[in-house]
Amino acid sequence: MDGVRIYFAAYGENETNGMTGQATVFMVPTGVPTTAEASVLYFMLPPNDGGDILGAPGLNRGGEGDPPGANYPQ
Amino acid sequence: MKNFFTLLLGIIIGAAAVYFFYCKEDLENGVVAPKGVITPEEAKELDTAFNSRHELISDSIVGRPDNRSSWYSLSDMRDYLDYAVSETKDLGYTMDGVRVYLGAYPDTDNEVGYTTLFFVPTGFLASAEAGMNPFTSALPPTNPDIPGGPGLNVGGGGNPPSANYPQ
Repeated sequence: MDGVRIYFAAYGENETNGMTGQATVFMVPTGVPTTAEASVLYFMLPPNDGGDILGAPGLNRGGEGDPPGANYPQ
Repeated sequence: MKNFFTLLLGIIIGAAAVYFFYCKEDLENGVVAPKGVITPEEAKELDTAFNSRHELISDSIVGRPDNRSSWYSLSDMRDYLDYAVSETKDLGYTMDGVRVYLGAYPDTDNEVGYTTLFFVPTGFLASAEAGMNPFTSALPPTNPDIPGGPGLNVGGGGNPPSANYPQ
């Protein structure tokens, strides 16, 4: 794992958390397979973040703005 | 039949052993699953539900496929959290979290700025913690942004900016 990617997202119509349709963000881990790290090809590629790690858990359900439309600073 | 139950018992004991082994290892490493963990399927649902907004923003405002994700290296992420805790402590605050804002880079002469996001630390005055009375602590936590707390931006954009999950 080499970092995290945060996606702009929205809760769907089937959400049961009372935030149906609200904008949100979620983050997922990124990285390269540990075997690929050792390969020569990897070092020849321009430096970039690894891809999203497939099957890895994400993080969502951050508290929304108070109120959701609030500007910085809250 | 007896053999079958022996086999079943073996499987259960094996599964329990694996479960406890991994749990024990997680505890030893201090690894705790935070609130809000989601599966890749849930991530896809959240990502897909944003498609119509992305289209609207791209077409009506940005005039090109807008950015819809931000990437931060693990070291920058950890360093930022440590840095923000330290800086806000100097400001007299107890940091209790981060708030992520959706932002947009300023427009240039030629094009409208991409959407981005940035972090700011939230918390409360350290002096307020000691003086907490039953009345105020009964109020729901509001996690206000710490005035003067350092923010974090300049995450890498999507590749390409408009890429869906998973990239």
